[in-house]
Amino acid sequence: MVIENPMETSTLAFPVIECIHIVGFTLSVGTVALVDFRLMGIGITDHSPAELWNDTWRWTLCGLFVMIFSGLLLFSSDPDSYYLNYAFLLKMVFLLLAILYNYTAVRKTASASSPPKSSRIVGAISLALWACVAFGGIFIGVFPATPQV
Amino acid sequence: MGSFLRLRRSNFSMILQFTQWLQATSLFTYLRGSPFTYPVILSLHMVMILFFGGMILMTDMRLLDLGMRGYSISSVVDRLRLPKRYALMAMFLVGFLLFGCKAEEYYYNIFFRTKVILLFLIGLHYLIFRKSVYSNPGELERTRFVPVRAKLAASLSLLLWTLVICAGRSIGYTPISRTPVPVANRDVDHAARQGARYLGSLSRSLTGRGFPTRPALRTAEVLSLPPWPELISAGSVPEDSNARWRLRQYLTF
Repeated sequence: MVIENPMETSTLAFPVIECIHIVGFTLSVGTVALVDFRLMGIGITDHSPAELWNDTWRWTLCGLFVMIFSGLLLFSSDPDSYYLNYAFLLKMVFLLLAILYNYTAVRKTASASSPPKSSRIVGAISLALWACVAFGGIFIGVFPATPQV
Repeated sequence: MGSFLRLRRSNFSMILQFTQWLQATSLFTYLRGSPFTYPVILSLHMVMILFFGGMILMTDMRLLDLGMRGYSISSVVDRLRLPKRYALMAMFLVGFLLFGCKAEEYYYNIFFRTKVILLFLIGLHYLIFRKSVYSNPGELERTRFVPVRAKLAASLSLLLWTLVICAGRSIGYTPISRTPVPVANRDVDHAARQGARYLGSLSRSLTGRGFPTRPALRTAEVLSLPPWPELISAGSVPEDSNARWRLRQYLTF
């Protein structure tokens, strides 16, 4: 039996899912970035980073859920090409690092009762990791996998 | 509105001339011809959307009383006002750099036009609600529930910004076959081949192997192909997933 991927049945599927992917990405990274900017002393500074974390983590999780599942759909449209794409592989590495970093270092720093001196650096590193993920996403289209030249 | 979205050259020849002049300036000719500058600027645009989007989202959610409930409305609106303004200015600047590289093509692009209209509507929404909502957030806290006008402003903002993101992404998906090949595409093809050569030589000198790169699929070749759905129904594309990938990447870049 041939199983057809629903992604292939309509030419609209890929662009529409990609829009959903970007909206999910904005939702998750946008809320993470608010916390990171707060750690760097930018934004709503009259409240502690811990309060901001408590008010945003649900949105971050929703965004991550939308982003990862729409991303899997996009990946399923042409897995071998993505697998061979250096930009995609780097993006996955940075995504994993950024998520791990967010739920370890950023979470720990944000929930500390008095902000440690390193909190600015922690926020900056987290922002840089997420920026690398975005760069990876754009560069997937710049370096498509083809036989080597 | 309908006639604006449809192509009517006579009404917009001045704008068309402006776009042709703009993309011919030395700055944009340089940006277009350099292999990695355009994707880098595009990535920066993307990064700014991500960082700026959270601020808009959380302000709107606070006004809708759906999130950030531990915060007063005035602390969210007032403290995020300045960062949002800087981010918006930076985003416009970067967006303009992107636009200038292929201004003529974007001029014809239906989704680009939609995006411009949406941005105009966002500006209009801000002007309408500036006095009653955004400039006086303290007023909104007097009552037990957030006033309807604030919720209306926040819902409009959420809707319009989401549509802007979708329209922005769709700009890259518009078939380019309706317009004559703009001069800009030739430069972009050249830049892509140049980039492939750089990467290939860099990779060979580091690892002794070549780098998988963007194939030299020229604009003229893409334009000579039948439209996308016909290609799929003809069965010529799905056999070779790599070819499909390349073609899609070309059309979406």
